Formats: sequence, C-alpha cells, structure tokens
Amino acid sequence: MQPMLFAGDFILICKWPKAWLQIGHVLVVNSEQYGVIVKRVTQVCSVKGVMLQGDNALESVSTSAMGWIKPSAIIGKVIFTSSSRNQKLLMKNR
Amino acid sequence: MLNSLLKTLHRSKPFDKASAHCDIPCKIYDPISAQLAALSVIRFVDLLNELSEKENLSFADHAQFSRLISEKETHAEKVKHEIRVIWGDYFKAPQFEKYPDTNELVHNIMLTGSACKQHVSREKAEALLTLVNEFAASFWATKGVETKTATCPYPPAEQVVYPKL
Repeated sequence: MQPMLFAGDFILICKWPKAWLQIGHVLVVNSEQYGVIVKRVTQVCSVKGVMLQGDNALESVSTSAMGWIKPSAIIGKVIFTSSSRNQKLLMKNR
Repeated sequence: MLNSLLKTLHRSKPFDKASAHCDIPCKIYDPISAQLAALSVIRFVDLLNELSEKENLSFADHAQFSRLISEKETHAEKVKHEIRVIWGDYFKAPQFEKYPDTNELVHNIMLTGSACKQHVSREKAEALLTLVNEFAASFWATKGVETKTATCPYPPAEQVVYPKL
C-alpha cells in the first residue's frame, strides 16, 4: 500500500455502512485467501461486495487474485493513519 | 510524537495487525529446479552404489562417500523446499479446485523426499522423481501449457516432464 502505508504504520478503522462505501476508500477486510489485509476499493457492488487493489500496483497481489470481497468480510474503513514517514487524516472521499 | 506514543502502546499491548500483502510478486515459478534436484538424488544414489561395489575403500573413497551422502540429503531437501514454495506461493484456490489431489501429492513428495534422505535407495529416489514429474505436469496444466515426457540427456537419463514451449 505504499506510498500511503508502509510496514509498521498504525491505522485507525471504524465500521462503515455498506451503502456508504465508495471507490477510493481504504478498507481492512478479512480475505479468505490472504487473511486480514488493507487495500483500496476499486469497485462496489451491493450484492457481491467490493473489489480491491493495492496502491503499490507493481508489488501488490492483483485485484483478480483477491476477487470479490463479501460485505460480511469487511472489518472497517481506514479513517486515520500514523506513520513515522507521514501522518494524515483521510478525507471523507478516500 | 503520536507515532512514538502508538509504538509504545503497541509494545505493551499489541494492536491487531493487517497486512498489505505486498510480497514481491516475481511470479517466477518453475518445477524444473525440483526435477533437477530429484535427478541429482538418483545420480548420487547411483554413485554411492558404485562405491559400495568396491572391496576396499581408500581414504579418498571415504571422503567421496561422505560427500555423496551429504549431497544426496541436500538435494532431497532441495526437492522438498522447491515444491513447498510452488505449493505455498503459486497454488491458490483456483488451482486447488482444478487439481484437488495436489495437497496429497505434495505430502507424498515430502514423505518420499525424507525417505530419500534416510536411505540409499534407487527405488525411493525414482519414486521421488515420479512424484515431482506428476507435480510438474499439474503445475504446467494450471498454466495451460502442454507437457511432454523425454529422457534427460545426461545421467541418470531418467524420464522427465518438460513444458512444450
């Protein structure tokens, strides 16, 4: 998830209503294949859930490999990050 | 400041972790390394058997014997390592669905690889190569690559599954 997140960064998440999910949001999800991961939303479907992608596309597992993430697998939306490299409050549209 | 505070808190009471899963996806997987290691195991067994036919072993023979045993075990372990990497890093749900026997096959390779380390047995070494060839055939099939079986053009001149590229 570089450059937004680096290994060892802290993130704060909160529960987020399905209906409010948008492309660009950064979510923490419990993937069947990859465990608890943090990724950015690229597609939203009210039935299938969300498709995700890492910011560091060259080094991230692909969207197709992750597949659709069910709404029930979404743990929360990242609302704050704290890093030794950068600190920022995520805007509502992210 | 805030980050330092969070780090201190994390050390005393660790937070839950989320991974970004950013392993470098080199995507370079090829069972040929395992196949070559399995062939090497057979070769070392052959050389050990040749050595065992000598009536008297010289000092140099003893040194070679020791080296051959060591290399046989190293290459049997290499087979296990190479297969584990492909099984663990490359095979995912779609491949397991297509080849549901993969887990059992990999487990058999692990057991046979260990047996090759424990014994000086051509039979067991051949069994290891057969299993690794089977794994290679499945691996290439998951990529939609046809395979052919041919005799490798070097000792121990055994049958090896190669991709038709």
